[in-house]
Amino acid sequence: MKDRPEETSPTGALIRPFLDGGAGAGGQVNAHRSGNANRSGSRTGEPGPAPAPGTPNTSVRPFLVTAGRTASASDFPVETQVVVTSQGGTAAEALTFEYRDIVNLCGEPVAVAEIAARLSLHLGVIRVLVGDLQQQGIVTTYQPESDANDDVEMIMRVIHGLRQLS
Amino acid sequence: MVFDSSAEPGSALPRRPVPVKILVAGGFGVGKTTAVTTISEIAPLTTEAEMTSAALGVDDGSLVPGKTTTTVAMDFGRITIDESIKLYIFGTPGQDRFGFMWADLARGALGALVLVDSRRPDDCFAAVDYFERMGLPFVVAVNQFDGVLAHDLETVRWTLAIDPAVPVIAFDARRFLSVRDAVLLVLEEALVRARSRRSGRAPSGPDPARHGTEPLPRG
Repeated sequence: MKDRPEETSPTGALIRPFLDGGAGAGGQVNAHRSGNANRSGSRTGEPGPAPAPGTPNTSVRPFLVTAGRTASASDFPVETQVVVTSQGGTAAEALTFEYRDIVNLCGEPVAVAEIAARLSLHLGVIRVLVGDLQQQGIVTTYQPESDANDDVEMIMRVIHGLRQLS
Repeated sequence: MVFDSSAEPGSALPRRPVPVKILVAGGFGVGKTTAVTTISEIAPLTTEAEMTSAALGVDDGSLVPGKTTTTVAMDFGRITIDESIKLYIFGTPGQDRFGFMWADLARGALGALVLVDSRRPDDCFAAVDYFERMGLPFVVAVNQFDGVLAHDLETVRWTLAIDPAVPVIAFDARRFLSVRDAVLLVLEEALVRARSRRSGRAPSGPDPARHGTEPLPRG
Protein backbone atom coordinates (compact mmCIF):
# COMPACT_ATOMS: atom_id res chain seq x y z
CA MET A 1 0.00 0.00 0.00
CA LYS A 2 2.79 2.39 0.92
CA ASP A 3 4.35 2.62 -2.47
CA ARG A 4 1.26 2.10 -4.56
CA PRO A 5 1.91 3.82 -7.90
CA GLU A 6 -0.82 6.17 -9.02
CA GLU A 7 -1.23 4.63 -12.45
CA THR A 8 -1.62 0.98 -11.55
CA SER A 9 -4.83 -0.89 -12.01
CA PRO A 10 -7.44 -0.31 -9.36
CA THR A 11 -7.79 -4.03 -9.05
CA GLY A 12 -4.47 -3.94 -7.27
CA ALA A 13 -4.48 -2.95 -3.64
CA LEU A 14 -7.32 -0.50 -4.02
CA ILE A 15 -10.31 -1.45 -2.01
CA ARG A 16 -12.07 0.63 0.53
CA PRO A 17 -9.93 0.68 3.65
CA PHE A 18 -12.39 -0.58 6.23
CA LEU A 19 -12.99 -3.61 4.04
CA ASP A 20 -9.29 -4.09 3.71
CA GLY A 21 -8.51 -4.32 7.39
CA GLY A 22 -8.24 -0.57 7.68
CA ALA A 23 -4.78 -0.56 6.21
CA GLY A 24 -3.25 1.91 3.93
CA ALA A 25 -5.64 4.73 3.25
CA GLY A 26 -3.95 7.32 5.43
CA GLY A 27 -1.08 8.12 3.15
CA GLN A 28 -3.28 8.49 0.12
CA VAL A 29 -5.72 10.71 1.89
CA ASN A 30 -2.94 12.93 3.12
CA ALA A 31 -1.59 13.20 -0.36
CA HIS A 32 -4.94 14.41 -1.61
CA ARG A 33 -5.41 16.87 1.17
CA SER A 34 -2.77 19.18 -0.18
CA GLY A 35 -4.34 19.02 -3.59
CA ASN A 36 -7.65 20.10 -2.24
CA ALA A 37 -6.16 22.97 -0.34
CA ASN A 38 -4.56 24.24 -3.50
CA ARG A 39 -7.80 24.06 -5.36
CA SER A 40 -9.77 25.97 -2.81
CA GLY A 41 -7.39 28.87 -2.65
CA SER A 42 -5.15 30.22 0.04
CA ARG A 43 -7.89 30.91 2.57
CA THR A 44 -8.73 27.27 2.70
CA GLY A 45 -5.19 26.41 3.60
CA GLU A 46 -5.12 28.63 6.64
CA PRO A 47 -5.18 26.81 9.93
CA GLY A 48 -7.69 29.15 11.47
CA PRO A 49 -9.32 32.53 11.21
CA ALA A 50 -6.16 34.41 12.12
CA PRO A 51 -3.89 35.09 9.15
CA ALA A 52 -0.19 34.44 9.52
CA PRO A 53 1.81 37.43 10.76
CA GLY A 54 2.94 39.60 7.91
CA THR A 55 0.33 38.21 5.57
CA PRO A 56 -1.58 41.07 4.00
CA ASN A 57 -5.26 40.52 4.47
CA THR A 58 -7.49 43.05 2.85
CA SER A 59 -10.77 41.36 3.63
CA VAL A 60 -12.80 42.00 6.73
CA ARG A 61 -12.73 39.24 9.26
CA PRO A 62 -15.85 37.25 8.63
CA PHE A 63 -17.62 37.60 11.93
CA LEU A 64 -16.79 41.28 12.43
CA VAL A 65 -20.07 42.17 10.74
CA THR A 66 -21.97 40.05 13.21
CA ALA A 67 -20.25 41.62 16.22
CA GLY A 68 -18.60 38.31 16.92
CA ARG A 69 -21.79 36.32 17.09
CA THR A 70 -21.56 32.95 15.42
CA ALA A 71 -24.76 31.35 16.62
CA SER A 72 -27.94 32.24 14.86
CA ALA A 73 -31.35 31.91 16.43
CA SER A 74 -32.07 29.53 13.59
CA ASP A 75 -29.48 27.17 12.23
CA PHE A 76 -30.72 27.51 8.69
CA PRO A 77 -29.99 24.70 6.28
CA VAL A 78 -27.97 25.99 3.32
CA GLU A 79 -30.90 25.80 0.91
CA THR A 80 -33.32 27.71 3.19
CA GLN A 81 -35.24 30.27 1.13
CA VAL A 82 -35.11 33.88 2.28
CA VAL A 83 -37.55 36.48 1.02
CA VAL A 84 -38.37 40.04 2.02
CA THR A 85 -41.75 40.52 3.65
CA SER A 86 -44.08 43.17 2.31
CA GLN A 87 -43.33 45.42 5.26
CA GLY A 88 -39.63 44.56 5.12
CA GLY A 89 -39.10 46.26 1.78
CA THR A 90 -39.79 49.67 3.24
CA ALA A 91 -37.45 49.03 6.16
CA ALA A 92 -34.47 48.52 3.86
CA GLU A 93 -33.55 52.20 3.76
CA ALA A 94 -32.82 52.26 7.47
CA LEU A 95 -30.59 49.20 7.40
CA THR A 96 -26.81 49.14 7.33
CA PHE A 97 -24.63 47.65 4.66
CA GLU A 98 -24.86 43.89 4.89
CA TYR A 99 -28.44 43.86 6.07
CA ARG A 100 -29.47 46.12 3.23
CA ASP A 101 -27.56 43.98 0.73
CA ILE A 102 -29.48 40.94 1.87
CA VAL A 103 -32.83 42.71 1.64
CA ASN A 104 -31.99 43.98 -1.84
CA LEU A 105 -31.10 40.46 -2.92
CA CYS A 106 -34.19 38.77 -1.56
CA GLY A 107 -37.09 40.36 -3.42
CA GLU A 108 -37.59 36.86 -4.75
CA PRO A 109 -36.86 33.81 -2.62
CA VAL A 110 -33.11 33.18 -2.51
CA ALA A 111 -31.22 30.37 -0.79
CA VAL A 112 -29.03 31.18 2.21
CA ALA A 113 -26.04 29.69 0.37
CA GLU A 114 -26.76 31.87 -2.63
CA ILE A 115 -26.86 35.02 -0.49
CA ALA A 116 -23.49 34.03 0.96
CA ALA A 117 -22.03 33.45 -2.48
CA ARG A 118 -23.39 36.64 -4.05
CA LEU A 119 -22.30 38.84 -1.15
CA SER A 120 -18.98 36.99 -0.73
CA LEU A 121 -19.63 36.43 2.94
CA HIS A 122 -19.30 33.31 5.01
CA LEU A 123 -22.31 31.08 5.22
CA GLY A 124 -22.18 31.36 9.01
CA VAL A 125 -22.25 35.16 8.81
CA ILE A 126 -25.27 35.09 6.53
CA ARG A 127 -27.07 32.73 8.88
CA VAL A 128 -26.61 35.20 11.73
CA LEU A 129 -27.67 38.23 9.69
CA VAL A 130 -30.69 36.50 8.18
CA GLY A 131 -31.67 35.41 11.68
CA ASP A 132 -31.55 39.07 12.78
CA LEU A 133 -33.65 40.20 9.83
CA GLN A 134 -36.16 37.48 10.47
CA GLN A 135 -36.51 38.49 14.11
CA GLN A 136 -37.28 42.02 12.98
CA GLY A 137 -39.92 40.78 10.57
CA ILE A 138 -38.03 42.07 7.56
CA VAL A 139 -37.55 38.71 5.92
CA THR A 140 -39.36 35.39 6.06
CA THR A 141 -37.56 32.09 5.71
CA TYR A 142 -38.83 28.87 4.24
CA GLN A 143 -36.88 25.91 5.45
CA PRO A 144 -36.87 22.60 3.63
CA GLU A 145 -39.44 20.11 4.77
CA SER A 146 -38.09 18.14 7.68
CA ASP A 147 -39.40 14.94 6.15
CA ALA A 148 -38.48 15.69 2.53
CA ASN A 149 -36.83 12.28 2.34
CA ASP A 150 -40.16 10.59 2.95
CA ASP A 151 -42.26 12.86 0.76
CA VAL A 152 -43.08 10.57 -2.16
CA GLU A 153 -45.24 13.15 -3.93
CA MET A 154 -42.62 15.86 -3.75
CA ILE A 155 -39.85 13.59 -5.00
CA MET A 156 -42.10 12.60 -7.90
CA ARG A 157 -42.68 16.26 -8.69
CA VAL A 158 -38.95 16.85 -8.80
CA ILE A 159 -38.46 13.85 -11.09
CA HIS A 160 -41.27 14.98 -13.34
CA GLY A 161 -39.93 18.51 -13.55
CA LEU A 162 -36.39 17.36 -14.26
CA ARG A 163 -37.56 15.06 -17.05
CA GLN A 164 -39.07 18.07 -18.81
CA LEU A 165 -35.64 19.63 -19.14
CA SER A 166 -33.53 18.88 -22.12
CA MET B 1 -41.06 42.67 -6.95
CA VAL B 2 -41.64 41.89 -3.33
CA PHE B 3 -42.67 38.35 -2.72
CA ASP B 4 -45.83 38.28 -0.66
CA SER B 5 -44.93 36.24 2.33
CA SER B 6 -46.69 38.31 4.93
CA ALA B 7 -49.82 36.21 4.99
CA GLU B 8 -50.97 34.68 8.22
CA PRO B 9 -49.93 31.14 8.95
CA GLY B 10 -52.44 28.78 7.47
CA SER B 11 -53.52 31.04 4.66
CA ALA B 12 -52.75 29.74 1.22
CA LEU B 13 -49.56 31.11 -0.25
CA PRO B 14 -49.54 30.98 -3.99
CA ARG B 15 -45.94 29.91 -4.31
CA ARG B 16 -44.50 28.73 -1.06
CA PRO B 17 -40.85 28.15 -1.91
CA VAL B 18 -39.85 24.55 -1.38
CA PRO B 19 -36.09 24.01 -1.57
CA VAL B 20 -34.69 20.52 -2.00
CA LYS B 21 -31.14 19.45 -2.56
CA ILE B 22 -28.91 16.68 -3.66
CA LEU B 23 -25.17 16.39 -3.21
CA VAL B 24 -22.45 15.74 -5.73
CA ALA B 25 -19.45 14.22 -4.01
CA GLY B 26 -16.14 12.80 -5.08
CA GLY B 27 -12.44 13.38 -5.03
CA PHE B 28 -10.47 16.35 -6.25
CA GLY B 29 -10.66 16.96 -9.99
CA VAL B 30 -13.25 14.29 -10.67
CA GLY B 31 -15.72 16.68 -12.28
CA LYS B 32 -17.97 17.88 -9.47
CA THR B 33 -17.81 21.51 -10.52
CA THR B 34 -18.19 20.56 -14.17
CA ALA B 35 -21.30 18.54 -13.40
CA VAL B 36 -22.82 21.35 -11.34
CA THR B 37 -22.01 23.83 -14.11
CA THR B 38 -23.55 21.59 -16.75
CA ILE B 39 -26.89 21.12 -15.04
CA SER B 40 -27.36 24.41 -13.20
CA GLU B 41 -29.61 27.09 -14.66
CA ILE B 42 -27.42 29.77 -13.08
CA ALA B 43 -23.69 30.17 -13.25
CA PRO B 44 -22.49 27.98 -10.40
CA LEU B 45 -21.80 29.79 -7.20
CA THR B 46 -19.13 29.21 -4.63
CA THR B 47 -19.49 29.90 -0.98
CA GLU B 48 -17.05 29.48 1.79
CA ALA B 49 -18.17 28.19 5.11
CA GLU B 50 -16.35 27.93 8.37
CA MET B 51 -16.94 24.46 9.70
CA THR B 52 -15.96 22.98 12.98
CA SER B 53 -15.86 19.42 14.12
CA ALA B 54 -18.66 20.26 16.53
CA ALA B 55 -21.02 19.94 13.59
CA LEU B 56 -20.21 16.25 13.56
CA GLY B 57 -21.72 15.85 16.98
CA VAL B 58 -18.29 14.98 18.36
CA ASP B 59 -18.75 16.31 21.83
CA ASP B 60 -18.83 20.02 22.59
CA GLY B 61 -16.31 21.39 20.14
CA SER B 62 -15.94 24.71 21.89
CA LEU B 63 -14.39 23.01 24.91
CA VAL B 64 -12.05 20.74 23.05
CA PRO B 65 -8.58 22.23 22.60
CA GLY B 66 -7.92 20.26 19.43
CA LYS B 67 -11.13 21.36 17.77
CA THR B 68 -10.92 21.41 14.02
CA THR B 69 -11.93 24.58 12.27
CA THR B 70 -11.62 24.73 8.53
CA THR B 71 -12.80 27.01 5.82
CA VAL B 72 -14.12 25.00 2.93
CA ALA B 73 -15.37 26.09 -0.44
CA MET B 74 -18.37 24.46 -2.03
CA ASP B 75 -19.85 24.95 -5.46
CA PHE B 76 -23.53 24.78 -6.04
CA GLY B 77 -26.13 25.29 -8.70
CA ARG B 78 -29.87 25.48 -9.00
CA ILE B 79 -32.66 24.05 -11.12
CA THR B 80 -36.16 25.49 -10.95
CA ILE B 81 -38.45 22.49 -11.02
CA ASP B 82 -41.81 24.22 -10.92
CA GLU B 83 -43.38 27.32 -9.42
CA SER B 84 -42.44 26.32 -5.90
CA ILE B 85 -39.75 23.63 -5.94
CA LYS B 86 -36.13 24.54 -6.47
CA LEU B 87 -33.55 21.80 -6.65
CA TYR B 88 -30.11 22.75 -5.38
CA ILE B 89 -27.07 20.74 -6.30
CA PHE B 90 -24.16 21.06 -3.94
CA GLY B 91 -20.70 19.93 -4.86
CA THR B 92 -19.20 18.78 -1.60
CA PRO B 93 -15.56 19.04 -0.68
CA GLY B 94 -14.30 15.60 -1.38
CA GLN B 95 -11.83 14.46 1.24
CA ASP B 96 -12.51 12.77 4.52
CA ARG B 97 -11.25 15.66 6.61
CA PHE B 98 -14.36 17.46 5.43
CA GLY B 99 -16.70 14.87 6.80
CA PHE B 100 -18.07 17.48 9.16
CA MET B 101 -18.92 19.61 6.18
CA TRP B 102 -21.06 16.84 4.81
CA ALA B 103 -22.92 16.61 8.08
CA ASP B 104 -24.06 20.17 7.62
CA LEU B 105 -24.78 19.78 3.94
CA ALA B 106 -26.29 16.32 4.01
CA ARG B 107 -29.01 17.31 6.44
CA GLY B 108 -32.25 17.06 4.47
CA ALA B 109 -30.60 15.98 1.22
CA LEU B 110 -32.67 13.67 -0.96
CA GLY B 111 -29.63 11.76 -2.15
CA ALA B 112 -26.15 11.98 -3.54
CA LEU B 113 -24.26 11.44 -6.73
CA VAL B 114 -20.78 10.09 -6.08
CA LEU B 115 -18.43 10.89 -8.93
CA VAL B 116 -15.57 8.54 -9.58
CA ASP B 117 -12.48 8.85 -11.70
CA SER B 118 -11.90 5.21 -12.54
CA ARG B 119 -8.16 5.81 -12.53
CA ARG B 120 -8.39 6.94 -8.91
CA PRO B 121 -11.40 5.22 -7.38
CA ASP B 122 -9.98 5.47 -3.87
CA ASP B 123 -10.67 9.22 -3.93
CA CYS B 124 -14.34 8.56 -3.34
CA PHE B 125 -14.02 6.02 -0.53
CA ALA B 126 -14.76 8.65 2.10
CA ALA B 127 -17.91 9.76 0.31
CA VAL B 128 -19.20 6.22 -0.14
CA ASP B 129 -18.47 5.41 3.51
CA TYR B 130 -20.27 8.51 4.64
CA PHE B 131 -23.43 8.05 2.59
CA GLU B 132 -23.66 4.39 3.56
CA ARG B 133 -23.43 5.31 7.23
CA MET B 134 -25.98 8.09 6.77
CA GLY B 135 -28.34 5.78 4.93
CA LEU B 136 -28.54 8.42 2.20
CA PRO B 137 -29.49 7.03 -1.23
CA PHE B 138 -26.62 7.42 -3.66
CA VAL B 139 -25.59 6.58 -7.19
CA VAL B 140 -22.02 6.07 -8.33
CA ALA B 141 -21.24 7.81 -11.61
CA VAL B 142 -17.95 7.03 -13.28
CA ASN B 143 -16.84 10.09 -15.18
CA GLN B 144 -15.58 9.45 -18.67
CA PHE B 145 -12.52 11.47 -19.41
CA ASP B 146 -12.06 11.92 -23.14
CA GLY B 147 -15.00 9.62 -23.67
CA VAL B 148 -13.35 6.53 -22.27
CA LEU B 149 -13.49 4.64 -19.02
CA ALA B 150 -10.15 3.52 -17.68
CA HIS B 151 -11.88 0.54 -16.09
CA ASP B 152 -15.23 -1.06 -16.60
CA LEU B 153 -18.11 -0.44 -14.28
CA GLU B 154 -17.99 -3.84 -12.64
CA THR B 155 -14.36 -3.28 -11.71
CA VAL B 156 -15.29 0.03 -10.15
CA ARG B 157 -18.18 -1.60 -8.31
CA TRP B 158 -15.90 -4.28 -6.96
CA THR B 159 -13.31 -1.74 -5.89
CA LEU B 160 -15.88 0.32 -4.03
CA ALA B 161 -17.47 -2.78 -2.53
CA ILE B 162 -20.90 -1.25 -2.61
CA ASP B 163 -24.26 -2.90 -2.21
CA PRO B 164 -25.46 -4.56 -5.44
CA ALA B 165 -28.54 -2.35 -5.29
CA VAL B 166 -26.48 0.83 -5.67
CA PRO B 167 -26.46 1.88 -9.33
CA VAL B 168 -23.07 2.34 -10.97
CA ILE B 169 -23.25 4.23 -14.24
CA ALA B 170 -20.97 5.74 -16.84
CA PHE B 171 -21.28 9.46 -16.99
CA ASP B 172 -20.03 12.54 -18.78
CA ALA B 173 -20.00 15.61 -16.57
CA ARG B 174 -19.91 17.88 -19.61
CA ARG B 175 -23.14 16.63 -21.17
CA PHE B 176 -26.40 18.00 -19.88
CA LEU B 177 -28.49 14.91 -20.54
CA SER B 178 -25.89 12.68 -18.96
CA VAL B 179 -25.86 14.75 -15.78
CA ARG B 180 -29.64 15.11 -15.80
CA ASP B 181 -30.15 11.36 -16.10
CA ALA B 182 -27.66 10.73 -13.32
CA VAL B 183 -29.54 13.16 -11.08
CA LEU B 184 -32.81 11.48 -12.07
CA LEU B 185 -31.36 8.16 -11.03
CA VAL B 186 -30.46 9.61 -7.63
CA LEU B 187 -34.03 10.87 -7.27
CA GLU B 188 -35.44 7.52 -8.29
CA GLU B 189 -33.34 5.90 -5.58
CA ALA B 190 -34.71 8.46 -3.14
CA LEU B 191 -38.22 7.61 -4.33
CA VAL B 192 -37.72 3.90 -3.77
CA ARG B 193 -36.43 4.64 -0.29
CA ALA B 194 -39.33 6.98 0.50
CA ARG B 195 -41.91 4.48 -0.73
CA SER B 196 -40.48 1.62 1.23
CA ARG B 197 -40.36 3.77 4.35
CA ARG B 198 -43.94 4.80 3.85
CA SER B 199 -45.03 1.21 3.57
CA GLY B 200 -43.18 0.48 6.78
CA ARG B 201 -40.57 -1.75 5.26
CA ALA B 202 -37.35 0.10 5.71
CA PRO B 203 -34.81 -1.41 3.37
CA SER B 204 -32.01 -3.10 5.20
CA GLY B 205 -28.76 -1.24 5.03
CA PRO B 206 -25.83 -2.48 3.06
CA ASP B 207 -23.76 -5.08 4.78
CA PRO B 208 -20.14 -3.98 4.98
CA ALA B 209 -19.03 -7.54 5.62
CA ARG B 210 -20.61 -8.77 2.44
CA HIS B 211 -17.44 -8.60 0.45
CA GLY B 212 -15.54 -10.53 3.02
CA THR B 213 -16.77 -13.71 1.42
CA GLU B 214 -15.77 -12.73 -2.07
CA PRO B 215 -12.41 -13.46 -3.59
CA LEU B 216 -10.13 -10.49 -3.24
CA PRO B 217 -7.84 -10.27 -6.22
CA ARG B 218 -4.61 -8.75 -5.09
CA GLY B 219 -2.25 -6.95 -7.40
